[in-house]
Amino acid sequence: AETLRYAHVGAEGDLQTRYASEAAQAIQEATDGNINVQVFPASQLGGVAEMVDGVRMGSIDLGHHDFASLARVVPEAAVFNAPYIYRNAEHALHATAPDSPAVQKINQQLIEKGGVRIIGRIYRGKRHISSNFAVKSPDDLSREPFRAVPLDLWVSMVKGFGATPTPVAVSELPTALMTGLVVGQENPLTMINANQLYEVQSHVSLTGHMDSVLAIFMNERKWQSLEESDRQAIETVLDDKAEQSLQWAQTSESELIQTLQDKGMTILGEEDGLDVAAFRDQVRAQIDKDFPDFKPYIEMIAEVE
Amino acid sequence: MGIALIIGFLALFVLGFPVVYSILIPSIGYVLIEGFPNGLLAQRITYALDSFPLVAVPIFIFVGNIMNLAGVTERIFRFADTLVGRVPGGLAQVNIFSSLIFSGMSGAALADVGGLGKIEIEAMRKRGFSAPFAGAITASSAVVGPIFPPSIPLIVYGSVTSVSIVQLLIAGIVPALICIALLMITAAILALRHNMPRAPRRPTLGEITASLMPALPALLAPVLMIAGMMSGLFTPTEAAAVTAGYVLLISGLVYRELTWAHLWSAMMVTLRSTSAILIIVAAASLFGWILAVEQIPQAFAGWILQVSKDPLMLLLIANLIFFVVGMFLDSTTATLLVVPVIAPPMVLAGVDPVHLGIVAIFNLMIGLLTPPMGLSLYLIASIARISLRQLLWALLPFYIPLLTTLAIITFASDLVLWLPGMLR
Amino acid sequence: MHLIRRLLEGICALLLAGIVLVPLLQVVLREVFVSPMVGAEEFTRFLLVCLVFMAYPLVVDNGENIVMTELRESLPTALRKPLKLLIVVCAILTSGFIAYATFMTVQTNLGNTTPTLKIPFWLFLGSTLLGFSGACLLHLVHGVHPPASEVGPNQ
Ligand code: NA
Ligand code: NA
Repeated sequence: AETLRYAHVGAEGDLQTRYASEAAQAIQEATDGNINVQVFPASQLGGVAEMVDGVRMGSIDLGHHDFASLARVVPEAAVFNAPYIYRNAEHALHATAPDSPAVQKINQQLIEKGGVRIIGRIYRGKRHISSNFAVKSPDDLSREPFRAVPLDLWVSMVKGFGATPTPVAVSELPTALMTGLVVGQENPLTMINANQLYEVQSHVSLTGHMDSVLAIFMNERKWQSLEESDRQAIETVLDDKAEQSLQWAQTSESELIQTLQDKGMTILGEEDGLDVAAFRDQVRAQIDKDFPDFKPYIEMIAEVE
Repeated sequence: MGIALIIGFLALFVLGFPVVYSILIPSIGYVLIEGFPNGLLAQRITYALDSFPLVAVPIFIFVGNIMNLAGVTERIFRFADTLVGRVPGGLAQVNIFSSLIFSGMSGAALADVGGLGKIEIEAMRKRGFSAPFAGAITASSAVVGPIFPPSIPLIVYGSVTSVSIVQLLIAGIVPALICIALLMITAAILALRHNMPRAPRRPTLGEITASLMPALPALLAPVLMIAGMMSGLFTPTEAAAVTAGYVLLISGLVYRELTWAHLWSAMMVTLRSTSAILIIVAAASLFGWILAVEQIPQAFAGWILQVSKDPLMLLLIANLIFFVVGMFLDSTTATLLVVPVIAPPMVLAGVDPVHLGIVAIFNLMIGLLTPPMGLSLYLIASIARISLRQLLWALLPFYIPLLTTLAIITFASDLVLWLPGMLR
Repeated sequence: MHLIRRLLEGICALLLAGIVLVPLLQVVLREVFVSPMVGAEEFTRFLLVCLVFMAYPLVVDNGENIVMTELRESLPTALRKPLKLLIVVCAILTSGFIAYATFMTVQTNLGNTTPTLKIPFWLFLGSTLLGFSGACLLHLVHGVHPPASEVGPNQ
């Protein structure tokens, strides 16, 4: 039997952590014990950049993270994280399937340039804005310091919000929000709840600016060394679990809204005057300006059913 | 295999191999035997230092060196002497109080003792204190500084465990003040019993203000840092940089004692100390990766959670482990190698990671004062030119306030988490 | 040798100056002008990595590696001398091997860059390579001619 080392940075309680452990179990069953997957959650084998490079080099066999993390190999891979490019969650799931044309095109380059292959994806929910005052339109965030993940795409998106992108590490986020180093941040609700950001933030604006879909990627040499039947079994398992992750995310989102309200947060939706269209227009304009190379891929994604 | 690695490391370390090679040799052996790509070595070592919190390490070391060279330390020392010199134990109290700020700034407890400690012991001897007592005061007070900002050990702890460094630095303030108070009381009792020297009379208000003025800019440095972090004006790393800028400004423009030669020599000492400490951080991260692949932390977690699931019981076990480890390893090395194994099950069982951090660092610092490998002991004995035996005798009463503080911070988690709680 | 040392010291001093000044500048830009530099943190981290590895040969040259010598020094001379030789040989081999592994990695890792500033990753690895090859060389030199500070009175 072959043992695969599967690393990711997700914390205990996050959907991605559940996905990885359930997928590992299912792969072992589907391959009759041929493939044994050992999961290393919570950055045990290193942070994001290190994990991606580890998979390229072969010290880690597979891992998962935002598609944008693969931009260090092929810059256009970040397009799958681009804000406001999917019609809805189902569309996001279909457009990121390993056999969708856009993913196939990126995959080819990933294999050639980096020796890694995307073999699956995880739907982790929509990302929303949280803040310590009511945010209803980009004007409310104008020139306010706002936490940005230190990747080009996020910096560009936060500029699109009208805010000033300010980098803050996840571990310092609660303190930075409390002291006002940044006035807000954006993440899936599952993260806002798990990291207890409700203690330092008063509002959530349901901007749903990003469908958070994570790519599962594997070392190409390792992938090719597996039996054809095992590879197929793995792909089937990952695809089934991806469909399930969408359901988990959608069920948990409505539950989480309730939970966060119970914790005292004010949730703002379109019916409360949140101008999602204004966010969409400004963010898309900024992204189109900063990432002209994304255009053909965005068109390919739009064509997916 | 994992156990063999740990034994390999300990054997090389005890035999007197530099710490960095004691870690690297078993790690390289593992990579070669298990057939991992060699690139893992380069990648892991390099990535480990790609960390913003660690940037504070060279900056604080630099601040400490500039303060010593440009006479900032001396002015604070003189001010403290005027202020509390009349208290029983006089200069001993000054010695204790100045450690609060200055120790913990160099990342290696030994460097703290070697720098400020030397000045303190000399000053105390001149004033008529016995050498063993001066050594004991210096050694025991150096334990406290690392849990009071600025503190490189807490920064390293935070960067290893992904715990908020701001929270850690703020959490240490109250416990450090308690420990300082206990140490000062102990020193006062000893001073009264043995009739130790103190200033001949109370200072006049004029004398206090006269010595306060030159010390004020220097005293503002830690205030600036704590206030800056608590108000959200800057991150710990930025706070370090602001402090550095501020200290350069006052020692260059206000005191006018900073010369280019001072600056250059402070920079050279700083970059070598930084490299010596952080190269171990780099090597330890490779070692930690291998232990993770070998599932050592998981095995340990499984074992310890079987023993007990009660947070308080787990904290006591952790204390015991840290205490033993601290006897053998330098605090930074111990933090890097032991904490990643011990912390996860504790946190899982409900121990607050910030609380655990303060307990761990304080405990590891006490370890530097305990034989057989109490690293501070050897250094202080040699600075004070006394035997280890003399130093240990003089140190004996000071274990009481230190262990009392450890007990207080272990059991009274509210006390530790009260200040940082206001920030979350 | 002296010239190389001075050069290395100069480079490291510049890196250290950058490590202090960039966060300071960032505070001013953010708090005074409300326009922080994007990528300032990334750049400072890059400087730190370079500083640690570039300064490592200086650490070795000054015999400032952190080490616990208590047990070793209490051994009888007959045991201590071969042990010290073993340590030097191991230090040479270890730093040499890390340098070699880094060199091989640099060659396969050319396309990688940091996310915001696009600093090529071989620059990071380059400092690791330089640091450990310098250390290897100095361990070798010190093995042949021990520096004065390490030659104690009882040797
Ligand atoms: Na002291
Ligand atoms: Na301190």
